[in-house]
Amino acid sequence: MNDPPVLLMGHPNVGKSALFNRLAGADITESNYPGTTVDYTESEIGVAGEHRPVIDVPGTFSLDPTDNAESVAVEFLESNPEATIVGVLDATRIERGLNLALEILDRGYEMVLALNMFDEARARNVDIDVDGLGSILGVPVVPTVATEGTGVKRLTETIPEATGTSLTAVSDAVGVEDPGEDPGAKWELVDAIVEKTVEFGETEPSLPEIIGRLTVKPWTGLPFAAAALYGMWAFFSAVAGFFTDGYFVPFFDGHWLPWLQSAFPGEGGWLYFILVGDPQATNSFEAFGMLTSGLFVAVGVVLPAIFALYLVLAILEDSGYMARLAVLVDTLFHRIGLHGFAIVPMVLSFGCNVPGVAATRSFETEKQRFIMMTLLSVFIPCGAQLAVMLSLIPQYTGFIVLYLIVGFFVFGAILDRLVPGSSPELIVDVPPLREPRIGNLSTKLGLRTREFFKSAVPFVLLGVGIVNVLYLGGTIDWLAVNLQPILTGWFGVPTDTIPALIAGFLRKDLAVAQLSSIAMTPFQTVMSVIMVSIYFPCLATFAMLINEGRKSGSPVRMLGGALLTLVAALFLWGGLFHLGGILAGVA
Amino acid sequence: MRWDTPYFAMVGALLVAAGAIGTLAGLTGDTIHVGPVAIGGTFAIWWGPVLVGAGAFMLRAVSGRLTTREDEALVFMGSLMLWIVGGADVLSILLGAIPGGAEVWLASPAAFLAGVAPPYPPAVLGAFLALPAFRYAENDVLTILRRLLGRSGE
Repeated sequence: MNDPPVLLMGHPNVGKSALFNRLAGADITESNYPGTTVDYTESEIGVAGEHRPVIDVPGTFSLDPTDNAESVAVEFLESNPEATIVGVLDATRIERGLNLALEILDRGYEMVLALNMFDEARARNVDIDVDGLGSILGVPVVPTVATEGTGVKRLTETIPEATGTSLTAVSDAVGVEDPGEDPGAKWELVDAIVEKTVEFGETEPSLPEIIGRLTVKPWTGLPFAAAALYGMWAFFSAVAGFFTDGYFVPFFDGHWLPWLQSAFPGEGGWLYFILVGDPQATNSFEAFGMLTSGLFVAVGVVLPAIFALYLVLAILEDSGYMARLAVLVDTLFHRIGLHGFAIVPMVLSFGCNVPGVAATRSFETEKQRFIMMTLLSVFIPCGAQLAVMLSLIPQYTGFIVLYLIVGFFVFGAILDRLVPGSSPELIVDVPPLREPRIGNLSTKLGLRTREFFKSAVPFVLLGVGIVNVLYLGGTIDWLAVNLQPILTGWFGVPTDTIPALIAGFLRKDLAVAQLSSIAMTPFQTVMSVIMVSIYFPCLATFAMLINEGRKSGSPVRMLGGALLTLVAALFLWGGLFHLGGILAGVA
Repeated sequence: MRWDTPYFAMVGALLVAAGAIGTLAGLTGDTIHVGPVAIGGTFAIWWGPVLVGAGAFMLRAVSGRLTTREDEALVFMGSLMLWIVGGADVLSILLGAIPGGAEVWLASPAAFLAGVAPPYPPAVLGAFLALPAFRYAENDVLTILRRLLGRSGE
């Protein structure tokens, strides 16, 4: 592909990804909050009979990057001097994006402007003189509604007509002085353009707008957040319970397990032990073979729960509520050196830690990224683990998650004081509340569920296999003897938990499932689930930490720091829970 | 006085009472039966405070006699909280009643009806009582419906 690419550029959350999907017929994730795209996505577009690369570039406020995602955007622009730029502007407030468009034009690029969300601008009585704007800027301007596909065909047809212009010409058109390199004068130029081309009419605030405001005020926002999180939790439990308890448990325990136990040849042999597990087991949690417990945990327990959780997460993202949650918890996150948008990777991590860690790229400093990545990988249980916890110990799951979240903030405050570096404030737009689009929800669900199948299922099966091989080789017994003082002395759990801890290196859900087959007191069960949660990130998250550390140029520092925190969290936070149990007389 | 002022005052007071009792029942492990409503259960400690919050929003709004759009929004927000909790409860009851076990898969009509029979958590009834709040969002709901039904590309 030697043709110059078409770059979609604009502020965060102006609909670039939605426009990209429409232009290229692609299925990438769109969300109603800033920072969804932290890396670029490439596809092809037919322009005037030719195929040209089209790239969805991460959102940036200016060409002076302040975080990793913005750096990616600016690097892309600078490494493609022949590119045609589709500048995407939020039509409800074009003054925000015009400054960036002028910066790009000032560097000599050819551009077409897309005034996206044009329907919302109309609904808010924002009247834009599209032809006038095009004639002042000297570039084609096309109104679009990317979520509905309106204007996309015209935009595609207009790309070959992209032109460049100079700030001098633009200044002359509105009768102000050429701003040169003065940033203040550039904003005056933007004001002059807006004054000539946009009329703002009076509108009464709508109910969603008033509710939107109420959701970020603490007295009304926090109770509503509690309701939203409870609803998310209850939906997750109801759907997962329906599939798992209603259908998968009867199928696996009543049909699959007995059939496999009798039909698989070589009972008593090592292959039978690895693949089928215990021939006397009466349920699929206890059998612990790759084809029994492995399949049951991955497909029967985790898949329905992950599906339900991803659906709720997508609704939170697309409705714009996630961004409001960020504003609401901003003060809390400042106490650990982060800001409110840390809620985005945190909530994503409740689905899977891997995209959660990736979302930390929108943080401005290495300190913030380190703190967030470490806390996510230690304290936030993923959806798969939550599913197994809900299936096995529903009465304790809420309290365990609460204990882990408190640990998240306690260790965050400690890390904030210990880790050198700055924690700058982030000022971002809060998007309007919108109804989620069914098409985008299904795209997200499809992509994320496919990712789960690719990454989780093989790891669960492999985890069962490895633990069974270690059993056969005697390693588990050796570890049980040698780790007994720590496990029973410091944490108060039996040495039978060792296979689960080993399985936890690969998959936390598998580890929790394995704990279910051990005879323990309620306190020991809760204690061991907390241990499994915080003692080591799963393999996929660990690989992601290495990858992100490499990108930041300091993988050893990043990983070393994360592992040190992890050991401290395990012994201090885990030990504290045991101490609490002893004092309460339940340990 | 508008009819909705005393109505939502009553619904708000009921919610605060049910939420407070639910929270206490969640802490003590008890379940209290009031007609077709059962207040308690494993998760009462979590939904109880949400119901108190929803009721408090309604009481706060009616104290201003529902004369402003902000008051109406507050009632709608409280109702929304109730619909979230009640909706999840209804879903849980329905999904719990459908499976029939290993050999049957789908529950018989009699078993299904038994599964969805009372008692219900308080949010289920509260969600129905809050339905009149939709009148405050009539235009927005219609706009959303129009967008959903009339959505098309070029």
